[in-house]
Amino acid sequence: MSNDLAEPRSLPRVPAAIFAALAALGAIAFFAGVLAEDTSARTYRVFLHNWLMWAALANGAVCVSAAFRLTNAGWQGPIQRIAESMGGFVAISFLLYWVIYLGRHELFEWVHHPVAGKEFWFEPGFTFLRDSLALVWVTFVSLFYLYISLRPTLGAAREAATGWRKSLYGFWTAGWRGEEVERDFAERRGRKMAAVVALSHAICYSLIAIDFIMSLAPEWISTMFPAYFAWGGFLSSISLLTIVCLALRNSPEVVPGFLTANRRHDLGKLIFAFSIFWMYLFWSQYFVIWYANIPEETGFIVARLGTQFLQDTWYMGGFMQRIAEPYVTWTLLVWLLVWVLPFWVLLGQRPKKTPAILGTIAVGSVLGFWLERYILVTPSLVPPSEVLAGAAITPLGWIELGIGAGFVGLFFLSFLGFGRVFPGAIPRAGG
Amino acid sequence: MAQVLGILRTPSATAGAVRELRGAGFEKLEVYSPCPSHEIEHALDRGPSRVRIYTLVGCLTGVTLAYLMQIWMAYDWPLVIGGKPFASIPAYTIIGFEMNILFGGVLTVAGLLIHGFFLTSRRDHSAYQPSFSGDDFGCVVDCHDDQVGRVREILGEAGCAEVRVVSA
Repeated sequence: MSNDLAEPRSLPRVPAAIFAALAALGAIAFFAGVLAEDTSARTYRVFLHNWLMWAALANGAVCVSAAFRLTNAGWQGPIQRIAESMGGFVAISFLLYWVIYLGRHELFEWVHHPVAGKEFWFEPGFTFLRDSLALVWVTFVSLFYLYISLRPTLGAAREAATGWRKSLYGFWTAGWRGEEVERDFAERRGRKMAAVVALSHAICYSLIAIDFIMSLAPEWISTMFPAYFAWGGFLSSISLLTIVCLALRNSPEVVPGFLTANRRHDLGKLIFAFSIFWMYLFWSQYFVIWYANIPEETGFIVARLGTQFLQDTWYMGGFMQRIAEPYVTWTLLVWLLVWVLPFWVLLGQRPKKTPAILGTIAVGSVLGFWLERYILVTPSLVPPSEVLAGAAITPLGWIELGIGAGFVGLFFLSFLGFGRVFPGAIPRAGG
Repeated sequence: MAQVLGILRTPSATAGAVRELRGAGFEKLEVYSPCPSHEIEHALDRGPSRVRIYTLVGCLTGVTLAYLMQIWMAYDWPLVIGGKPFASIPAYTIIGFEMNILFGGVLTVAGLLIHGFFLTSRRDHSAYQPSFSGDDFGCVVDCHDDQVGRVREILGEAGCAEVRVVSA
């Protein structure tokens, strides 16, 4: 690939300004929320669910690149570099993790009271120590993978670079042995690292799911939930990758026409297949909980799907009363956006190849995941009983939208900045 | 109508010949290949197979029938199991999924046979020769008598080892 070379360039001004404004908006919403006495807990809650979404998504994007390598894929072309640019956010999400640590008193009950029967596991020092170590590890592994993957593309650029880029390229290409040798080396070493990246994502984000989501309702037991969460990170990054590819397909700076009908078809297939797997992971947990009907297990589902959970017989009597319970419509909306619509709409070949349809479904999927993270976190901290007593459900309140916008801004600033230094697909200034 | 046969040695040469012929407006082609080749398939560009409709219909039929069958059985011989309603939809999903696969699979094979045996026009395979199941690729073109010269020319340029008129 002749265009797979780093080409240092300046940030595209207009998009960068927009994303910087969004990030600033997020910072304002966060500080305004945290500093006000009555919204402090809510702000940390919103930060937690947004962090869960974007941290898992960014690491999922590195996994997408790793998956291309592991499966010996040849169809992706520049899409791999776009996924790697999205993965650059892992470093920032690691820094943002410490905000959750600062807000631990507002978020986690087990910081104040030991959880009966789980005193050892949810001892605060131990919990944050293992989570910090897991995140240090997974961030290191992901960045090291990106280093290996991108190194061969920097050969030409390091000669021409000046200023801070020169030292950065010099550091990344220390011991340069010529492009051919480097590419070959990256291919072999990259494949080994890809396996480590995939396993680390599964293990570390499962741990995050246990400690930051399941621990909000500490009596709840589920063996499938951690895998379900980690898989959500992978699927949401594929949906976002599709959106980014579609948004850049007519940009003059990317390889012209790189998003061929066949590649759109393949991205559509990935969303289609993996959304089925996502639903399957949820369903296999839901099914045993529904069947056994044990209070420790049903509580989590009841808080999100109502006291009768799903309609479990064929007639639809009382359906309206059931969905009128707190959070139920939002949970059903998540299913609609992440599984029902992608499944039925992307079933055929033509919808997958049509940019408008594929793009709409991918946007829906990302929005669905954003709401899903909300629905995973909030009902544990604001239980339905409180909602019935008057607490408001505000997935689209100003703090939620503000912090959500902040994460979007930061994520794409990181994306653009990454593509500014390494080969990615970003439009040049004014382009 | 005349029929011209070109014998080729490689899949890429065959695909190239097909592309040239279609580019010149000859669409009535029959290609014999000893092995499956995506390249030739893409060059022929016959469009998606109709068999997939059988799969979809089979799957939808299977999943619907499975749920209906289980609901009917649950009411026909009512037993309370685990304190659930007689017809408990979540428990039926597994059998629903399996019947979906079973019907989808069976109807796919049926569709394959129906289209392979009955709905394809009876093609004239007189140009076939046993080496097309060995190491040769054959490309048969149906054309008007006055186009034979042009077809021979295209096939020759595409690298045919042998070109001959099968029937005139």
